[in-house]
Parts: sequence; structure tokens; C-alpha cells
Amino acid sequence: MNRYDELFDIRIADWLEGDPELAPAQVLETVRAALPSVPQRRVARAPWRVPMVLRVGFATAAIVIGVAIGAGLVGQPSGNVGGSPSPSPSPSATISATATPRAGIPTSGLVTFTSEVHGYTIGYPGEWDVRPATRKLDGTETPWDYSPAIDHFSTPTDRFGDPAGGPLGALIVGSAVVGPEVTLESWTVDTAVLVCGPPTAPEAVEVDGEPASLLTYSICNHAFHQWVTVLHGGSAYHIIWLGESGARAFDRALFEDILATFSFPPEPSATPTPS
Amino acid sequence: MGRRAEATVHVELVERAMRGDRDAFTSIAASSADRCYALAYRILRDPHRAQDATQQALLGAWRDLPTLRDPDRFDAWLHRLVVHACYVEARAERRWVARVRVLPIERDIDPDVARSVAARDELESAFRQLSPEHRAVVVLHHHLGYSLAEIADSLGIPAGTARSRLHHAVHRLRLVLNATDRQGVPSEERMA
Repeated sequence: MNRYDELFDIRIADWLEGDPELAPAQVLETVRAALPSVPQRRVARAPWRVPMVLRVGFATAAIVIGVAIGAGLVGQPSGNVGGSPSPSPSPSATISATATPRAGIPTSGLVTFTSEVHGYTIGYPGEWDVRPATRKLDGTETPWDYSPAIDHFSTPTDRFGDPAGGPLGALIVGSAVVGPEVTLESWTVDTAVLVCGPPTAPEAVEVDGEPASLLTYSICNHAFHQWVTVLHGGSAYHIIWLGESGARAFDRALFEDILATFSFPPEPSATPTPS
Repeated sequence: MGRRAEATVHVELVERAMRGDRDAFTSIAASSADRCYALAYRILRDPHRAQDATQQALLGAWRDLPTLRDPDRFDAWLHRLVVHACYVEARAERRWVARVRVLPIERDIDPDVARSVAARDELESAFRQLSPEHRAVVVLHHHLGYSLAEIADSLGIPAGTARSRLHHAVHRLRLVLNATDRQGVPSEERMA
């Protein structure tokens, strides 16, 4: 390193030295307040792996997802996970046929949940715990599983502090109001792909008759993800299943059963009723 | 150049927090928040974004702590979470274009002070043109005093990648600053 390099390095270091050192008090207050609602992951279900978050080619992902979404819109959907049944065989049917039950995941007897914040209705296993959202997502805000902006459904064994432990299974649903410039592709890339990276095989599916994108990740932030993105009535939705990589087939089948019950809120009539 | 990040978190606290002890983690958060914020601010150059990134990183640390294999490496692990939270924050704002104009320096200001302020502004402007990944290696190296091997280990990237990012970042900073010096006045800049 020559003298010029040294001086330049010193200049950078001195400049960085002048930046703030102390965090605002709200940082710690927020963390303290949120901590009780954030469950810890259990080692048994969370193999160590460095998340590949954001070390990805976003342009490539957008192209891949765009092609998948386009194919779904132009041709026959590859997997009809909601709305009216598709008469054609789909990859999801194949996966469902190989699914085997997972101990500790009760799935019988779906009960209906209507989200007061997000407006949709969905069926979920009645034994599961529900933590309703208290607000909508703010734009492309990440729907973390501890966010107050998401409805969180989890298996009874997925609770923090359960000494017996149990298999991970959680459903996350959230939505944000978006402008007309937001497309399914842009919403998917700006949220799911941003957090988890490009998926290996994005699928074009339908949710309650709306074209949707289903991205599957073997591991993202230590969990198996099936991440559905869909637009409806001026809002963009996330419907996310968190599970274990080893239970992929079972999780896919269960996720499809739950998605098939999903219905959007009715859109307000465009023409006012004459008085 | 820079300074070494001190490992301020006691291993026993980390081990207790890994077993679900919230009080232990609260102590960890209290002793780590300033360090995390300082790192996030230097990468993001925005107090609100830095605050959000710090919160996300600390809550993510609590959530994923049981997956930490070596409690002795908590600090490096936490730095990685902060950096990744910064990437998310920076990407979220990437469409926002800040238009900053450097105003003419008042004539009655001490010339030395004026030059110092102008130099800082130039660096700020040049730094903001770097990607979040490049900013991160500059901050880890020049502020925290990390070696290239430590940067690679901390960020989970190959050492060659860390080296090339640092080289590219510093080269880019020089180019921008040299161009600014030649032109005299920096114009617009782009965030993240």
C-alpha cells in the first residue's frame, strides 16, 4: 500500500468515525416490546445455513417469475389451488398423492377465519393457534412471522416455550394496499424474491380465481417456505406456509387444502346504488 | 484505520438466551443495540432505516438464536444479521432517488471549516453511490477494522469476493471523488 492509499483509507475511516454511535432509545423499547410475541426457532427443525438473502440476481428472478406468471395467464394454470377445480392434472396432485401424515400436525376439521384487517376468509385446522393482525402491511414491508401486520396461524406444537417441542407448521397471511402500477410480477420480486432469493421453480397458480405466483424454497431463513403472492381489489397479498424441508410433500398437500378455502373480500360495487 | 469491534456480549448470556431466557436476551440487546445501530447507520446513511434494520436484526437474532452453533461467535453472527437487514432496507428504498444539491459555501465561513464540510459531503455523496454490499465491506474494514478474512467469515462470502468488493468500492469512491474534484460541484446522487 502506497502513501496515497494510506491517506485515502484514513480519510474514509475518519469520515465514518464522525457518524452517530448511539441508537435511539426507541430501538431497545421496540425490541423489548416485540420480544414476547417472537417465537424462537428450535434447533431440531432449523438446520444451520447461511441465508442466501439478496445475494441473488434479481433481474434473472424477475424474468423467470415473469415467464411462469405469463405462462399461467396465457395457458392452463399449472396448479389450481383455489377457486373452481381444474379438470386437468397438475403437479400439485402428484405431490399430494405422495404425501404422508406428519405426527403432531392436526389438520382435521377446518374452521373459518375472517380477517378483520385484511378482509379475506380462510379455513384452518381448528386446533391451531391464531394471532390476528392489528394493521396492514406497509407497501413491500416484509411479512416477518412476528409482524403485527400479518395473521399468524400455527400448530399447537409450534408455540414458543413448549417443552415437548414439535414440528414447525405456520401459516402467514398479510396484505398491503398497492397502486395500479404494481403487478403480480413486481410484487413478487419486491417481496418474496427480495427476502428469499429467486426460487428454483416458480409456479403459476390461482387463488380464488385470481392468477397467483407460488414460490417454493427448501430453506429460507431456516424454514421451508411456500410463498404465494396474489393481487386482488387494489391490495397485494402474501399467503405463506412455513414448514420443514423434510416434510415437503405433506406441507404442500396441506397448504393446498388451506388455499382452496381462501376467498377474497367482495369488492365494493363500482356504481352507487340509486336512492 | 478503523477500530476493532469489541466482543461485548458474555457467552453465558448468549447460552441462556439460546435456551429461551428473554431477560438474558434483553441484556444482550441492551449491550448490542448501539453497536448494531452504528453499523447500520454507516451502511444505510439514514437514521430511520438504520433504526428499522437494527430492530429487525435484534429480533431476528432472538428468533434464530437456538440455531447458533457457537455462542463464542455471537458478535460476528449478529453483525451478519445487521448487514443483511441493511440489504433488505436498502433494496426497499432503491426506487427512491434523492436529489441533493450542494449549496454554494457562504463567504463568511471559515475556509478550513468549509473545506472540511465539503470534503465530508463529497465522501457522503460518493459513498451513497455504492451498492449496499460494497458499503458493507467498506464499513466493516474501515470502521470496525475487520480483515478481509474476517469480513468474508462475517458475511458468509468467499475471501476473494470480499477482496474484490473492497477493491471495487474504494476504486469507485476514488473515481467519484476525483470527478467531483475536477468538476468542482457534485450534482445528483442515487440512493441504494
